[in-house]
Amino acid sequence: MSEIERDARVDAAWKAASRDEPPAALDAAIRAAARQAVSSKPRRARDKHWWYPFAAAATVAVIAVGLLQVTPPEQVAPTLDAIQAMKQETVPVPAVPPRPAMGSTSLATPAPPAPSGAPAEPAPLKKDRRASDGGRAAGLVQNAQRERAAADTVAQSGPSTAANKPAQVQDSPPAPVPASPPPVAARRADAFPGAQQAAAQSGVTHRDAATPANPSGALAASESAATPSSAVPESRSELSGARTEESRPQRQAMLTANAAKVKTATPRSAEEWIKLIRALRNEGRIDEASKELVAFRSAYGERADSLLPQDLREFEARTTVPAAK
Amino acid sequence: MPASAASSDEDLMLAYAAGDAAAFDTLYARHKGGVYRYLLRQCRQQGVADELFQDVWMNLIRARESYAPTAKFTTWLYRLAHNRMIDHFRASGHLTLVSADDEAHEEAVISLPAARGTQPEQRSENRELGERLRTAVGALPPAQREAFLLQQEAEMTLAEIATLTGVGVETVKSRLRYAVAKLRAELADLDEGLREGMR
Repeated sequence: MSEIERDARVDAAWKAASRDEPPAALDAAIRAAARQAVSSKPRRARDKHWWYPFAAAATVAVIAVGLLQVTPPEQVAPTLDAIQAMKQETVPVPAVPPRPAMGSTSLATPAPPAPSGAPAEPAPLKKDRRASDGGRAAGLVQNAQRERAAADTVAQSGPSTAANKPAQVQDSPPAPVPASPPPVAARRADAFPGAQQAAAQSGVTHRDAATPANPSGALAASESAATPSSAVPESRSELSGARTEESRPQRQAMLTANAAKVKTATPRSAEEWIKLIRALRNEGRIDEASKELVAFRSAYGERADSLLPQDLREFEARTTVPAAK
Repeated sequence: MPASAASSDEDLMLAYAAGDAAAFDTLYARHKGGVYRYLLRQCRQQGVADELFQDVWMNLIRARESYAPTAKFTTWLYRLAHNRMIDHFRASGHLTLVSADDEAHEEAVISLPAARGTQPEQRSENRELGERLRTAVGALPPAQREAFLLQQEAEMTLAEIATLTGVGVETVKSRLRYAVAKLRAELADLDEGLREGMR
């Protein structure tokens, strides 16, 4: 150090005076400890972070599983509704083969698979939204089955040539219901005339006419889109069949069957039912109104008296007494 | 690659941390004397110095994996020794030894044994010189003594001493100035006594 305060004589004197060394035993002990330290853990210092890649991989895996658990399932895979809607829009509707007869042989047979993949039974899902989607899908499948059964019943009860061809509701007045339908079929079919008439007045197809029975237009659209059975081909065929010459009873039968589909697809509330009965009564369709009343009573049982308004109870009394007589 | 004797202290330490025991032997041979004397002059008891010396090197062995050559090896080594010595003095109740202020000891008179008339004929000049010098160093204020020892035994610069002791460079310079002046005066006094004795 060429710095200050360095005296050559002091330095030399100190070098000569200070020659102490540690004891040899201490040297040996320290050297032995140093050798033992490196021999017991050779090159351990380089490997002390070996677990970093494993920790990173485990962290990524945990995050991925967590995201899968949190992410709504429709963002992971398309839902049944989305698939159905997409296929309904993209896949052309196959041409409807001419049905030989509206009898039980055509409609009672299991519905052919949907043109582009019928919705399967939805698996139970965890999330609420997923559950609601699955519930809707299941309900649609169930409704389709009901529609088929109702159409079959109507076809059996109606004229044999009535439902063979599709029909379009135009300005035709409602036709009389079949003479002696079975109770269930009558109840289902008779619920339609009001809507049928409204549709007839507005000049729309039966699908549009059925919309008032279903307050949710979007739901109706999705249901009709998701219906795997003959509903879609049938309605399409109705559009094309409007160009053909058809008899009024045939159209009426078709409309009745479709009304049954709509009715079974969307359960009617008591208020709607009462409005329908009133509408029928006001239109002078007493028989149909009374049948609806009977159906209302059978549906609601003891609660029917409390649900029915005074005017309908009086109407019921007037209509049923002559019948009893 | 095994570290050779010409390798720097830092390379030797890295080689030892990588498992080269021979590198430690070389390193130890280079610095064992300086560290030992540094500790011995500070505590002035050989038994304590041995214990502290062993602790310092064992700490170095244990800390080999965390060693990084960010500074000179000697700075790191003597910091281990400095810290161990402070721990010792703290445990023994003499913590003020190292941290004593220079100025507080400015006027302190180093009570060295009188040079004149102390049987100079019974000792050789060098031997008496060494003895008196060690005594003089031992009588220095602790901060001055440490600065002097770090300069002499570790061959540290002013900046390195300042870094290790945690003071400014000017403070280190002042400490060294006082320490050397006292030792020089002691040497001059010894020379005068020797000359008088020879007459």
